Amino acid sequence: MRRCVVALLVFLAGTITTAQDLRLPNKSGSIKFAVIGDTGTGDKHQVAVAKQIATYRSQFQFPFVIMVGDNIYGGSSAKDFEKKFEAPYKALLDAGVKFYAALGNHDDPKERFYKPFNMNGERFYSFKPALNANVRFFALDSNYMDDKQVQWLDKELAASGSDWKIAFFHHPPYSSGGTHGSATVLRDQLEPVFVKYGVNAVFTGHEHFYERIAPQKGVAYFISGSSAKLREGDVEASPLAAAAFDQGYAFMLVEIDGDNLSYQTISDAGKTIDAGVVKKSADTNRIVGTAGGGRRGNPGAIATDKDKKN
Amino acid sequence: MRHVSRFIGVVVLTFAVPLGGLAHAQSAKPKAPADPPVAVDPIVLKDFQQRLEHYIKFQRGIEKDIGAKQKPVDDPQVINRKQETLAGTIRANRRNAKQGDIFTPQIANEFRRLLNPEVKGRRGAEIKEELSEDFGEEADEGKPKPVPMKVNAKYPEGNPLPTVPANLLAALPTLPPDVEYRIIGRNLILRDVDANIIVDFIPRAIR
Repeated sequence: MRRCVVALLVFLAGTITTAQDLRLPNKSGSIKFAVIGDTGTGDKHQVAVAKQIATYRSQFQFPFVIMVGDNIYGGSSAKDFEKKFEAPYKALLDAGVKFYAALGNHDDPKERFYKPFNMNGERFYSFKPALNANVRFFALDSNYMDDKQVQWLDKELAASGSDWKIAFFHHPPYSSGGTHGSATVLRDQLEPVFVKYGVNAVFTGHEHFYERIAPQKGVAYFISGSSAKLREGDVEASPLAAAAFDQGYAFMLVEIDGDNLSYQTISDAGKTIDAGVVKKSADTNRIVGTAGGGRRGNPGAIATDKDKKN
Repeated sequence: MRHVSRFIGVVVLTFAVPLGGLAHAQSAKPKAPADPPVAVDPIVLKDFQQRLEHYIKFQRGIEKDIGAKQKPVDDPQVINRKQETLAGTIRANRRNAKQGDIFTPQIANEFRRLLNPEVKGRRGAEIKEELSEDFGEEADEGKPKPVPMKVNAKYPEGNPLPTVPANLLAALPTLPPDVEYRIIGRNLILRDVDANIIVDFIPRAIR
């Protein structure tokens, strides 16, 4: 009995310690969500990150998660979906958390018909998390960025009256990764549209690490591709990186309140890797700067936020 | 995708084709092309459009007849079953299909000509590197299965679908959502998205 009590206390202490590290404002009425990427392995790393997400949700009640691609690796059988999505995120799914997926290069496009991914049969789509929310999300298929999709995005952005415009997809237009690096062909195609319509933030994956890019042409870019896969030491020295972490698995929590987008990136060990605020102008709805700090590629070095321009 | 530092030119094609989604887009090009646009032979293009339209009508007809049109469901088995049924019925009704039915030698040569400016020189080397990414370096994600260059063959389950660089897509006629281009090595395949089968292919499309 005593052993059980001790075990329970140790468990609770661990949970409380982790939850106390929440650095977001956690305001009532704000838009809250999580970001995960390159998740669909079904292995212990995915499970460990999923547990941390669920733990943090006990204090930070986000109603939805965006998935930036590679949601199911290596197959699309019912078993794959069970092992690589339903089981790891069971606690979240049971709590009614919704998932919005974008397709990665390892995803079978028929995932768009899998209801829990909320893609409604579309390879690219947009949604508002609530009718009165002043934010609209744009999920893109960066594996096949044809003119039809770019035209759709152009039209959707033009029609969006939302103050915050957030795009998410798989391939990062900016990256300090040694394996892949910036997807410059894609960037040439999308960046003019983002700038034209004032997309504020972009979340991507593909690179198996976390990186916050210094804002580029008024757009904040995040890479969150290490929620189950990791390429240790893959972040190269680059003027792009405002913060990076390639020494462990990670996910992001995000909160939008008024003109502030607060972010917190957390490792599978429950440690905060990066946290800060992206601020936009109320008049122009364009990003005016960020505040925060985090780790660069070297986990021992804590970066001050320089927000260097490329 | 690294090291691609130069602007990637796009080819503006100024033709329109029937069947809705087949119409080639005119706008939303990111920047002015670095190289002069490649003119498309209108006769060859029309031939391609007609052959493709024929396949799309055939595929959509089967999909409707056997009730294989997908809609969002909770059970992935339902999605897979519909896809397999559609693929099986297409194969049975198209058992005599062969390479070149859609990509005739003339059309294949025209596609090679359209792609060639996009994959030559320094920029081309970068694009080729990008194309090989999904099938090359991802050792930790398991070695992809070989893709059979065979009409009606199934695209291997679990394989990554190589990302098609935007400049290559821009250089080719836009497709309806039922089919897509993929580049496998140096070959271009036309993949039926709904049935996950190879409709036709162009060997050595990338020189």
